[in-house]
Amino acid sequence: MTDTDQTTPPQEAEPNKPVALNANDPLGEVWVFCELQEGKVQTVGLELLGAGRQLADKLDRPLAAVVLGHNLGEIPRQLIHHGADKVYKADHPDLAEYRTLPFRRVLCDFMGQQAIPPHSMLLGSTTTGRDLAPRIAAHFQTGLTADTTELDIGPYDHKGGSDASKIGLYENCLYAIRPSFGESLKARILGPWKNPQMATTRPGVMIPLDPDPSRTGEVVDMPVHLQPADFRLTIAETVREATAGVDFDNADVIVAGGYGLANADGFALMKELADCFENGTVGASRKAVDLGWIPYVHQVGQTGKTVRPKIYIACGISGAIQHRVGMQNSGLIIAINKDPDAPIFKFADHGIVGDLYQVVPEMIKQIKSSKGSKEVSSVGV
Amino acid sequence: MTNSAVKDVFVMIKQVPDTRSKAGLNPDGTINRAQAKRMLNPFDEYALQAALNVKKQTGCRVTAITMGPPPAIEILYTALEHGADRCYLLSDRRLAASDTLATAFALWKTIEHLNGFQMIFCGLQTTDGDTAQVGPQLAERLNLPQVTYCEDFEVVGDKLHARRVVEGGWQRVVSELPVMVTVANSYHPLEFKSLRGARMVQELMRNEALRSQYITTVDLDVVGADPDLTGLKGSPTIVAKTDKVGSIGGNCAMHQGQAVEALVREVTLQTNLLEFAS
Amino acid sequence: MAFDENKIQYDVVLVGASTSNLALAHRLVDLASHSGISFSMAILEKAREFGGQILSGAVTPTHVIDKLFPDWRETDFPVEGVCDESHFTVMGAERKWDAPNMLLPAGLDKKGYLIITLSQVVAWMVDKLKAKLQDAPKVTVDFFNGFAAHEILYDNTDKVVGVRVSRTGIDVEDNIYAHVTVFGDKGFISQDLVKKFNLRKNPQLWSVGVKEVWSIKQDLAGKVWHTLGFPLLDGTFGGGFLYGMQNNRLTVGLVVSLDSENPNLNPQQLLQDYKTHPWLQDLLKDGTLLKYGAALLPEGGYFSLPDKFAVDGAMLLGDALGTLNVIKLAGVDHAMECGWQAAGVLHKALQTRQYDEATLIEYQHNLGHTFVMSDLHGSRYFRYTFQNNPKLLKEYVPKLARGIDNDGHPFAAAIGLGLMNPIGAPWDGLKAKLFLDGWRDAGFIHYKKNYAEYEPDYVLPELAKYKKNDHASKDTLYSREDAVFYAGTKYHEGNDHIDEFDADVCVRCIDSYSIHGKTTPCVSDCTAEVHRIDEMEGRHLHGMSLENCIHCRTCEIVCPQENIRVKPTYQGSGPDFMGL
Ligand SMILES: Cc1cc2nc3c(=O)[nH]c(=O)nc-3n(C[C@H](O)[C@H](O)[C@H](O)COP(=O)(O)OP(=O)(O)OC[C@H]3O[C@@H](n4cnc5c(N)ncnc54)[C@H](O)[C@@H]3O)c2cc1C
Ligand SMILES: Nc1ncnc2c1ncn2[C@@H]1O[C@H](COP(=O)(O)O)[C@@H](O)[C@H]1O
Repeated sequence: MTDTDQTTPPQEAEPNKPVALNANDPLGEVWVFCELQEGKVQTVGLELLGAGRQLADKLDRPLAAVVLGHNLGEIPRQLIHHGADKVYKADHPDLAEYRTLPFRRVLCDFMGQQAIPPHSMLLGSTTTGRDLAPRIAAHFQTGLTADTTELDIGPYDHKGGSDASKIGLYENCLYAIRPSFGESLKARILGPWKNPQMATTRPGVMIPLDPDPSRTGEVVDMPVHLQPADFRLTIAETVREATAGVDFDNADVIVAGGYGLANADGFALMKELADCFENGTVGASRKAVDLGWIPYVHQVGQTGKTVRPKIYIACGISGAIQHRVGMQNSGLIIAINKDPDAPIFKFADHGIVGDLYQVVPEMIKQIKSSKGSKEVSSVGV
Repeated sequence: MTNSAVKDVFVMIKQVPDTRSKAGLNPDGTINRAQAKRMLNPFDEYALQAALNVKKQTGCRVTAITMGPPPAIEILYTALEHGADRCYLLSDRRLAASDTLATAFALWKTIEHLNGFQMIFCGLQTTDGDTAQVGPQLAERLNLPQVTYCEDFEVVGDKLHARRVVEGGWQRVVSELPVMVTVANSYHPLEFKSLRGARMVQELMRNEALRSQYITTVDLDVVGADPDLTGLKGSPTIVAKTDKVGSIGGNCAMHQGQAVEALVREVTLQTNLLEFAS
Repeated sequence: MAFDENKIQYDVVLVGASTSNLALAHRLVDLASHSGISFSMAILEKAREFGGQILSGAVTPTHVIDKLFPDWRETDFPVEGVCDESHFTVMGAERKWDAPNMLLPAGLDKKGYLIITLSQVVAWMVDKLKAKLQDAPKVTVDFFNGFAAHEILYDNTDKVVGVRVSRTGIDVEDNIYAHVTVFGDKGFISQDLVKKFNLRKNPQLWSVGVKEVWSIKQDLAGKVWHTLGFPLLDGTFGGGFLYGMQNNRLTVGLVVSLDSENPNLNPQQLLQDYKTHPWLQDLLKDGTLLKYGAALLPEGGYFSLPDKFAVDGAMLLGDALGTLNVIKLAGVDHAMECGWQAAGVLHKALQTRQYDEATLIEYQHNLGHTFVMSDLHGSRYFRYTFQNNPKLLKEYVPKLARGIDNDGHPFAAAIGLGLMNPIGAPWDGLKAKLFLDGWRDAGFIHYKKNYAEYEPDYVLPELAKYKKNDHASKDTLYSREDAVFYAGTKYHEGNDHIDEFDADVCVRCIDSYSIHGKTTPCVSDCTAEVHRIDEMEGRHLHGMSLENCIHCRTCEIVCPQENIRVKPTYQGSGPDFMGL
């Protein structure tokens, strides 16, 4: 390729035509992209099926799961059990691992062939979903809302604006709701003029349905016609190891230790508590990191990671503002501290005043003993 | 160096409200645009550094491009201070209220107008839009392969060897050029501006003729973009409503003065802690 | 093009976009516009943003501003308020007493003065300068925010020829050369020059000022309080200040002298104690803290001035010189006047192209004829008198404070002490004593270094103790760790901007204090949670969290071993004092 022709227009002949001109008539399906990782459906896909089910019911249209991979086996059925009415699947060796170009080719080809375009399409706000969704949206020149935390269907009356062609009352719009700038506001984002109306959703926000093995549905093959240009990027290696980094993003529970641990050994206790949870990991305050008690990757706060687990257990952390800004959006904050005046109690949800070296072992004990009686429902395959 | 496959790299940067200082925030957390200071999108700092690192490696030319109102020239000065070679400012009132699709469209047209690059760097996301969409949307328009969440890379011959973040780990990929890369904030932070760059920019600010050698302002007509496909008209989405979100926490239930066992039991009963047990 | 030449050379380099240097810049550009001379100048400022690392009170008269910016009232010059109520208040731990104006010592009535936010005024001065330069085509000024001067460069005749601005000094870009280098840097690096030429016969006496800006429920704009007493009851020189500003903001600060006997002052915590006073509690009720910061004030005054204010190729201005008048807490107008006078001399030097000491020293001569020098001369024994008569602060002030807590006014206590006027008396007493003892002619007074009085086994005097107000709202009080957040520090790894010369010296210092249950002064007096003691294998080591540093340099001043040096940072690292 020479210097000058590198930006020649797309080699593809297919036009970037919109999928539908009139958004709401006829009403399309709800599509949910279910991503796989090492051949397994990711929880976020099941969560989106849960959310998509509600949307589809409100629209009274089918819910379709879209899945691309290789040796899919039981996966389509699993998706149906989790709420899909239909599964669009592409099963091909070149799709074994996610790559932008082959995936977008199959998806865009298939969507472009639909007589009635999907009403909406949901993807996870993951490295895959955020990689793929904008490509599809740009391809069909349709709207896409990132990182939604709520989804709904409802009417929208567009009154003003410079573009008269957009004015009108739109039924059955996708309400894509997300925290907006600074996270103290919620924005409802709408794009009723063109289908599919697209959104990505943060993992852990939506709730999956309990699998129902009696559910049945239709499985449809998507054609796979890859082109040489789709192989401009190759994957040399993918390494997934929980230890490569600290996976704060997917942790339900973070157990964090601070200066109050008094020494590095305290983190063994933190780990023990974190390990009591299905998805638990260890965090730390800057002071503990500075003192060399635990590596930097564990640091939560202004100079570390910003986290929002479902539960944050702060042990021996004073709650200095630097730390607070990194974790205050956690779902539930439980603080354990000897000092009843510790600032952390100003913004924790539950505060235990006591010696963490007594409280934490007790907590471990109680959690472990509760396990026997608890039914564990597994969502992954 | 000069015979590297990479001769021109583009970096897409955006000016955003300054969230680092509290100035310019209304008490309710919304932006007071009149008062707000502006800054280079912090994520774009990594993208800029990535472009400058390619320059260090290959001697290529670095072009910084932004779409924004005229004051956005400030971030182009910043790019020059750090070592960019030339800049383009796409500014046009018809661009107002562009969503990511419309933004990507206008940027695409600008890039086409410039013609000729081997790599495009974008920030992972912006702090005001916060979508991480513009980069991939641009790549789609340009029909490019893309490496998103890139945290390190090297140009090897006529290929890009890159490492990107994936859930719970990382991935090494090899891409043909040209390619669009969005740079993660785990990449090298932006080095401080150079004294030389800072000096040059002062000279540019004084000297319009010199300035125009480094910074070109273009509008939709110059880049040949259909105004109907950008701005409010070209945006398929609109923000219809904003609600305040209640602040989280604040009413701490204190558990104290009992035996540890009872304290912990209180907490496990009053919270959903046990639901997460493995 | 100018920026392509090899050596980076200007006629003038200003070290620090300071109050003094910016006054100089404005005046010099004005003079050059009139005379038509052309010159080039660079302004180096270690903060990322101009004004970003400047902290002051600040209440100031307008006389220098009037002559620098005759039309300032018609511009957007940032004013927080014009003082219409000025109080001098004696504080007990529970009550306070506003001294009647007639009893006030001269200089403490601030009526008609401006209340300003100096960081913003400095930013304004930079903007105005940039605007002014549009109409001064023959003058080139380059603004280098985020670039500190790290080292002074001399030629082989010991003439100052510029400063090093980058790490190594090897590359062309590392050094900036100038015919004249002007230091308005509060001594950050100009202390090296003073030392090299042995200019200062007396050490500088330093105080540290800790300051918070609050958003409060009431509008106190234009109101000024200076306070004496609580929480400084241990004989330490200093006092509090409260300045009401526009938009319902209030400055709360404390100036604490570092030449105390008490080696563990912890000024930041003293400021918290100050705020526990019921009166302050009332003012701050339901308010929010906006900003926190700290900075040094040079209090040695006349006797700490260097012998020479200029040497070959260099001049000293403002706090770097030591022109603050401690009685009036006036540093801003003094610093600006330094700039005004220095500009006149520089303008001549640029015309004659003479930059030697003989030419530049005229600045010292000219400053000698201004209010700056007469003020400093008039108050030259002030600081010394308190040093020399420790009873004033150790006994008189705490007893007054107690009297107020007991009776609501200090007269009983004052009478008990044999004084008729509780406020005027000490000043009159001082003056009388000076005359009587002939000290007015006593000539040169020798100061000891700040830390000279520290005793590791220091015991807080009974009179200095006060019961903490347990009704104080916790929302008004901040730990040092939390306070740092409000100083907006941004740190770049690798700056290593505080030198600890010998680690063993620190170990011994720590031990010498810890055996008495005290902590070493750098740890206790740090305003920003930088210095700490780490325990390792039974040894106590000095550790530093540099990312918290707000550049106040208190540790450098209080280190009894002179084992610490705070250097300027690279990349604009450090606090963000905008709004302080
Ligand atoms: C708490 C407090 C309260 C005060 N209250 C009052 C008051 O009410 N009224 C009054 O008149 N005065 C007051 N003062 C004193 C007054 O603020 C100072 O005397 C005056 O600002 C000194 O001006 P300057 O020009 O010497 O330095 P400053 O204006 O302080 O400026 C120094 C500048 O130099 C920069 N700098 C330092 N080293 C370097 C370097 N190596 N390279 C580059 N840049 C560098 C700094 O970042 C800073 O910007 C107060 C001071 C304090 C600390
Ligand atoms: N107006 C713009 N001008 C230039 N680049 C932009 C603009 N908006 C977004 N970008 C680029 O796209 C990236 C992602 O932005 P966003 O999709 O808004 O989160 C940014 O980090 C920039 O690199």
